[in-house]
Amino acid sequence: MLAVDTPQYLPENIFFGIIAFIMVVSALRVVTTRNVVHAALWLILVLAGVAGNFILLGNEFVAVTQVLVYIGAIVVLFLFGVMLTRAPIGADAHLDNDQRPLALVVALPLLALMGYVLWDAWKDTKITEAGPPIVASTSVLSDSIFKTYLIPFEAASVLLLAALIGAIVLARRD
Amino acid sequence: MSSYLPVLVLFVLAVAFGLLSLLVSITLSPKARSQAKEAPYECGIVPGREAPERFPVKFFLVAMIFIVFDIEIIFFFPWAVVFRELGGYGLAVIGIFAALVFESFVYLIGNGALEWGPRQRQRRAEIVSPDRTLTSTIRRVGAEGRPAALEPAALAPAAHHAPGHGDHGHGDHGAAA
Repeated sequence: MLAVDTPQYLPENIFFGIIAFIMVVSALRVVTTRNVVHAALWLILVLAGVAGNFILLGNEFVAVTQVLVYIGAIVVLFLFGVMLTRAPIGADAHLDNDQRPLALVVALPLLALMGYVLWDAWKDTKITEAGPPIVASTSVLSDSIFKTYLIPFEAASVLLLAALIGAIVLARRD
Repeated sequence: MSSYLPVLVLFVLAVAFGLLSLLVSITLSPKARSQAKEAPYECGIVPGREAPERFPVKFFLVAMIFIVFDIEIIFFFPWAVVFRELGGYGLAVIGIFAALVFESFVYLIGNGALEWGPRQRQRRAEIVSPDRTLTSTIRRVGAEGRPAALEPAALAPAAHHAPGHGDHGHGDHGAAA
């Protein structure tokens, strides 16, 4: 949908195909593996694919954020959650349950909705050399953070503060 | 995009190295398995019990601290890109942001969230107590390892001796008086 079929962009198209294939396979393994820890490790591969796609789009900042926050922080939190709860570390045959129809009811409309939104937004738009860049560069992002969205940016620090204090309250022994 | 070619080469090399190592170890290593070799190594001691399944919840705090400061660092990147253009304004903005997050870290340290191990009670060390005197210290050291009956007899001449000849042995003591 977003790729261009000029020979100049051939490597990007090839790598997009490879990354997309790895991501789809890994995403399937996340939900089919019998080991919770393995599921988290497959999730790393999916998220790394997202980071790779952002690099293909030429936006390094979002790619770095993807690696630092999602692979570095979120997956680490998942693994800590597995470690701290009674979740079995090894393979578990009872990982699956009988709520597949319910999951289907949630997942299929979500897939339809997101697919429609993506198709509606871009239809058959293609990235061209002449057109405006689809992804903003880091300095444009900086400008919007420190000018337009300054208050939300400062509020984010309060959110982080609240997260840490909440963690202390949860972990405190009294 | 061609500037990412070295990254790609490194990636391919890393994967190739991993696969090659696995392949070599599978094909070349002798396969002599025994129960002793499969057991987890505990410095030669036969493992007696399973490792505890749950870890202390304090690890959760470490994870949360990591995540919070990870996200703080993310916001430093766009600031660093436009650092020169923003100047003092940017410094103030990022300073407020960093101070707010750092405040939570101070609260965390103040709550003792990073103190590991059993709770340590502060014990008063009597040897170095501030109200010790020269005579009390000497008596304690001198009495060590001696029979209790000998203690007053051995120390009595010394205790009477020092004030009597203060101008002779201790020059500073005589000057103060």
